[in-house]
Amino acid sequence: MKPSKLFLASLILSLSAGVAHGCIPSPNYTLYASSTSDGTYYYSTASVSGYSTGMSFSYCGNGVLHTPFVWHQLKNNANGTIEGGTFSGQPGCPGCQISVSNEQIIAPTSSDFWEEDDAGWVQCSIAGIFWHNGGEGAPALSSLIETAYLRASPTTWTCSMIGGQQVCNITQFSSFCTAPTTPPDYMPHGLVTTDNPPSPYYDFKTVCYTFSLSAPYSWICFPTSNVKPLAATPPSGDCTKYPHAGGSNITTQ
Amino acid sequence: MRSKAGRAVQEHDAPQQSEPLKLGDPDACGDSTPRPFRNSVEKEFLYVAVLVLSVFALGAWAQNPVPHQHSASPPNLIDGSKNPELIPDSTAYRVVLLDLSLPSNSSDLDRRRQASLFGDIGLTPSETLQFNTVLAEFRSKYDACVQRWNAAGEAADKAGLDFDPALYVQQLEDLVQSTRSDLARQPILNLKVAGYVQHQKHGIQIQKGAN
Repeated sequence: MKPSKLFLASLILSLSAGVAHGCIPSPNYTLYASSTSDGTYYYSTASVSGYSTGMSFSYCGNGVLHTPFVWHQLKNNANGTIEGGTFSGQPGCPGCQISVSNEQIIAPTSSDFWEEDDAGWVQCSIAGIFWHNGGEGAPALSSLIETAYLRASPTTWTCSMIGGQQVCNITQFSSFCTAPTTPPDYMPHGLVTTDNPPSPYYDFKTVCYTFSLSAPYSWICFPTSNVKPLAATPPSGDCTKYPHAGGSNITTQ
Repeated sequence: MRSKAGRAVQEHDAPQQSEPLKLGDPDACGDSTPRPFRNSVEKEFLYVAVLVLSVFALGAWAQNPVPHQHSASPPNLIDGSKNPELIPDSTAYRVVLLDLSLPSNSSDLDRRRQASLFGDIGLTPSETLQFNTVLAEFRSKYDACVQRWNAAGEAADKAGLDFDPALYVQQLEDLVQSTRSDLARQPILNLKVAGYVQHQKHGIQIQKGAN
C-alpha cells in the first residue's frame, strides 16, 4: 500500500475512533411506573426522564437532538383489548433534561385481568437509539392488574365513642372464602365502621396489582370504600385468587 | 378508555425495500459481463475501501449496538422492582413528587388521579391541603429549573460549546432536599409521604453513568 493511501486509511481510522469514543453519550435516565385506583378506574402512568453527558461538541457537532420514548401498554388478558402504545416526548439537546409521560385509564371488571408493560428508550438524531431499557414488545417492567373480591370476618376490633358516635376500628380480618380461593389475593389491613358490634362478615371489592407475572404473586391492593356488611351467615365467598377471578356470590359489585 | 400526555407515535414509516444488486447480474448495472479487476491500483483501492467501510461499520455498531426490540437491560441499571433498597432516596423523591404534583395546565382527570393517589397515601383533608402547597411550590421550581437547564444547553449547542449539566443536576437535587425539609416540618404528613415514596421505589428503574 502506498504511503498516501496508508495515511488516508489511518486518518479515517482515527476519525472514526474519535466518533466512537467522543460521541457516545453517558446516559442518566429513569423509567418510572405508578398506578392508583379509585375503586372503579385504574390510573396507570409511565414516564422516562433524564439527560446525557459526555457528548463532546468537537466530535458530535451541533444540532444533535435526543428524543425520549416510553412504551406503556395495558392488555386485557380476557379479550385481548390493548390500551396505550408508544409515546414520544419533546426532543432536546444531548445535555438537556428530556422527558415523556403517558397516562392510561382502564376500568377492570370482575372477569378480566390486565397486564401492564413498560419500557423506555432515547433516540439520538445522528446515532439512533443509544439507550434502551426494554423496548416495544420487550417490557422492562411488567405488572398484572385485577379486580379483587373478598368475603372476610372481623377477628380483632376496638370500639369507642368519637364525636358522640360509636365507632369500631377493626384491625384484623380472617378470610371466609371457598377452599380453592383460600388464601385470597386481597386482605384488608383494617376497617373503621359505625357498626357496633361489627357485622360478622363483610364483602370487599378493590383493585390490586403485582410485579410478579408468575407464582408466587405478591399483590398490592388499593384501599377501598367498596365494603358491604352481611348480617346473616353467608356461604363461603367466591374470592379472587389469581387466575380465578371470583366475585360470583360477593355482594360488592 | 382514555390516554393523555405524550404524543402517540401513530405509525412508523415502512422501510422501502429494494432488490439487492447482484454481482454479475446482467440487469443490475447494464453490463452483462462480469470482469476481473483491471489492475493492481483498482485492487489496492478496493482494499482501502473495504478497510474504511469496516471501520465505519464498527463505529456505527459501537454507537447503536441494539435496536429497541431487544429486551436486554442496560448496564448499570438499578431495578427497584428487584432491589428497591438500591434506589437513592433523592431520585425516588424527585420522580414521585413530580408524579404527584399537578402540571400548570392540569385537567379534571389529573385532579381525580391526584385525589386517588392522596387516598393511597392516607392523607386527611388537612394534610391534603398542606401537601398540595408543598407540591405546588416544588413543581413550579422544578419546571423553572428544567427551563433554565434546557435553555443553557441549547445556547451552548448553538454556540458550539460543550455543555455540562452538572450545575442543573445539583439544583434539582437541592430542590428535592429543600422540599423534604419542608415536609419534615409536618411530622405525620412527612411520615406518610416517606412510606409512600419507599413503596414506590418498586416502580423505578434508573441508569446512571457510563453506557
